[in-house]
Amino acid sequence: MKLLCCFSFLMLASCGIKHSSLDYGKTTMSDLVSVRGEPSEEKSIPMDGGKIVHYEDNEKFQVKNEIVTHGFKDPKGDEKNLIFWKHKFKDCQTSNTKISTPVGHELAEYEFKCPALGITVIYSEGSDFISRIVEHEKN
Amino acid sequence: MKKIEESLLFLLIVLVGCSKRNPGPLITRWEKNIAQSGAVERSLASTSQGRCLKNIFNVDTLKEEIFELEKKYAEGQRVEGRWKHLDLSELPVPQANFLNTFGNEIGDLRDQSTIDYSSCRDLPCLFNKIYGKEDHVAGYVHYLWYLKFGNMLSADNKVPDQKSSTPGEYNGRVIDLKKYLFHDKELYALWRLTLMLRPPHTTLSYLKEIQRVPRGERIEKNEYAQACGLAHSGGWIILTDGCLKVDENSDEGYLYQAVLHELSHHLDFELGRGTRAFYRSHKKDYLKMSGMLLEEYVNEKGKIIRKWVHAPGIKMISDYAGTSPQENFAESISMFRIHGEETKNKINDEHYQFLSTEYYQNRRFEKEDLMKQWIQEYSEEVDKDVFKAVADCSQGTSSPQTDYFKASDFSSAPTQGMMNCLGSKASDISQYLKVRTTLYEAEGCKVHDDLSTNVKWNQFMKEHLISSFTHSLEMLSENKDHPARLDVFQKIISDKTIAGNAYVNCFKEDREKECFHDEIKREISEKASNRNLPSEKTKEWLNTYMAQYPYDLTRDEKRKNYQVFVSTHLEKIRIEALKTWEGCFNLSHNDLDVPSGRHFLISDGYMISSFYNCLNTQIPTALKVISRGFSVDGSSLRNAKEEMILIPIVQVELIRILKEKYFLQREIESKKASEILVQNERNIREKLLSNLNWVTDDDDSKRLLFDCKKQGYKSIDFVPMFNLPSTLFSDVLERKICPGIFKSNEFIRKNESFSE
Repeated sequence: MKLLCCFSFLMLASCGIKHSSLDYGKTTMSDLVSVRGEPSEEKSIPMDGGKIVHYEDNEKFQVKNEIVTHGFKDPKGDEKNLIFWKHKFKDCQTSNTKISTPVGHELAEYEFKCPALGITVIYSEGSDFISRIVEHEKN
Repeated sequence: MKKIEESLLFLLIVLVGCSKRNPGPLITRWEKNIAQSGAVERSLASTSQGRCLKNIFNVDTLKEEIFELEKKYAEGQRVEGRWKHLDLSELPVPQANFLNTFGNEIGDLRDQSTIDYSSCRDLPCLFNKIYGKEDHVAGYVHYLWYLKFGNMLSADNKVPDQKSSTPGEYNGRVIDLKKYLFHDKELYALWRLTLMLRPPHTTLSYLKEIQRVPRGERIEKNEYAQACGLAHSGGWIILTDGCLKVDENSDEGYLYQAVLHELSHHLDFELGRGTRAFYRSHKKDYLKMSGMLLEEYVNEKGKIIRKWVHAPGIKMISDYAGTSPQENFAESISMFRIHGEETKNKINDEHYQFLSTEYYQNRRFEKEDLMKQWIQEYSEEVDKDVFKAVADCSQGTSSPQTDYFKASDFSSAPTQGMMNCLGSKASDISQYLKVRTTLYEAEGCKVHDDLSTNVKWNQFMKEHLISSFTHSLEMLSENKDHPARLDVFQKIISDKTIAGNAYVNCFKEDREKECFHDEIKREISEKASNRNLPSEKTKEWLNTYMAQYPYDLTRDEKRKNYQVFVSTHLEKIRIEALKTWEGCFNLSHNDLDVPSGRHFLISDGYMISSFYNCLNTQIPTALKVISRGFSVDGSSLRNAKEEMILIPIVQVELIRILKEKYFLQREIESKKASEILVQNERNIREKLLSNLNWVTDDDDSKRLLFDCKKQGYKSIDFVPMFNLPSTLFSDVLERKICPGIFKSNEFIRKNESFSE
């Protein structure tokens, strides 16, 4: 019985990959701290009133004038696959835009955006792999 | 009950005890079979003195190398099928594999009929026909490149990712096939590179081809127009003239660094595969040692900024290495190999050590290090010669007086006559190795032509020879009464299988390297104890063995051999891959579930989720079936660790074949979709107009078009399996059908009724 419980818990834990419940554009920095605890690091960015706060697992949040505007996360499990997002976004009015112009001959990075879900994913040219998930306000 | 428990416990102990030793790996048998077929002895002619690698760049040398490498495939599964007039089953397995994989990608792809291959009976000949030459080095270099790296050094007129769909057109011009081919100097340099590189550069599984951009042309895409080469994670490298420069002295030139740089990008892709970083160079440890930091945020305009910045005190091999971690990685690895001295001074010690350990088997490439490595690498042969020399000299062979050795060099104080004999032999051995390394080592001439290194060479050689002669003298004197023991020692030292088995048995163990050493220690100690060897001698045997077969070298050699072993069974993999595809293809499909799994991945295009999930579920079974079907001399795979090594290698090939099938089916589906659109345009229009409830916001033209397209996909009586409906139908809906609907009376009337 104990084993079964333990197994069920593990199953639940492994399946429980969830996106942040933060309400981007509304959640305040103090809300964030009360949900996630104190950040491990804070760095300023070249934007008025803007900063990036760092958490475990390479998770970062962008804050502007004490409002959380964006979340940056590493993909987990199937989220790493570009096809996962093509499937998830298939009913969405998506855009696919190059976000970096290569300085040398490194491959360009692209953003694949679904504004309705408030999610943008980043991948490198020719890759099947998502390097970053950016969450933002839905519109 | 207790008794049953005790019995179970006993059984468990017995099973654990029995499973302590894994069954012998297949690779050991396979390697033995190859070794039994004998290696070509390279003997030096008297004219070899002062000659370099470039002096032996000819068809005979290349043929000899090919002969050696092809032996590994002798027991491989013959490939069925034909390539033009050639029966693949009659060709050596790697040649047939090449034609099966790349046969449609060589030569004049604009017009296949321009080259007459009909007189050819082998692959080098086919390549030479493309070059318009007979029995030329080109054909052999192209084939050797495939044998050594497993990817294609292209000889065709289609550049991967070129703008035109027609081969032979680049930068908007029609270009002659000859301009896509390599010059002899470039071919020499590429051949030289095959001799300079080892795993992991020679075991890149996902790199498919290296293509020359036509001579005189830049890379087509504007953003890369200034770059001389490009490595794409899709499995290719393209190189322009700038990356293929070879100097007057053909051992020098930017080609070496540039090609290695691009190969290192692929190493970066490959080692990062399956990790969250995607690039190896983006992993935390590399970012830390290279001093690169990522700054990411969304700016005022809503644009995502991802910019690499430098940590304070960063040390870089070049300014270019500072542009991104991936450039830092590729630049540092290539410079490390080609410009060893410069690299050591320019990057930090941790970074330098990391490159040496991870990518160069602990080797370094400053001149002194190269000399020491050669002496180490040739030590088995040198030590045999030394042993023979000691045995000869003990017979009282007379020799002229020489001062090569001093009496103080040996603790055993040999007689003057013996000293003369040993010195004379030592001098010959030293000279012989110098000539040999000058001729056969890629950097042989560069090192030995430098007079300042001559003194060092003599010093290093003398140090090694003193140690080797001392050891042989001791062995002879100690083993006068134990000649059999000496024989056993020599057999053990030349027996690679102890190290090979240790590598396999320790694969993926927590502390792989320590486990490897422990396994060897156990084996050697067992052999020594069978011969009642004193513990000091056992230690000596062990140390000699470990120096001969270090972990990194064994690991890389095994990696390469397993790859070759798998490629001798490509036909088996092809059959299973097609079976897996058909098994999934024949099911009914839908796109309801989330696509899950990472064995078979898609970067470009789409696959309906039930098919995607079916493939990803079936692939592990197919991999097991293939691996467990491997056999050597009638014995099949029984070693669990060996299966763990083989599966990822088999997987690369299996996925490659499945991908080929996918691309083919996707193209067929696209054509079918176009036909359906043409035939059903009117139907689709009527269906869309029959019920305009799909319109959610007729004031927003973008939204309106989106709604129209979305409903349009539903109205088409065709569910694509290998494309997104938007890819197949968006264009026609956007340009033709939807604008027509927006202008239709039905639509306008509905709009008006809404307004009212």
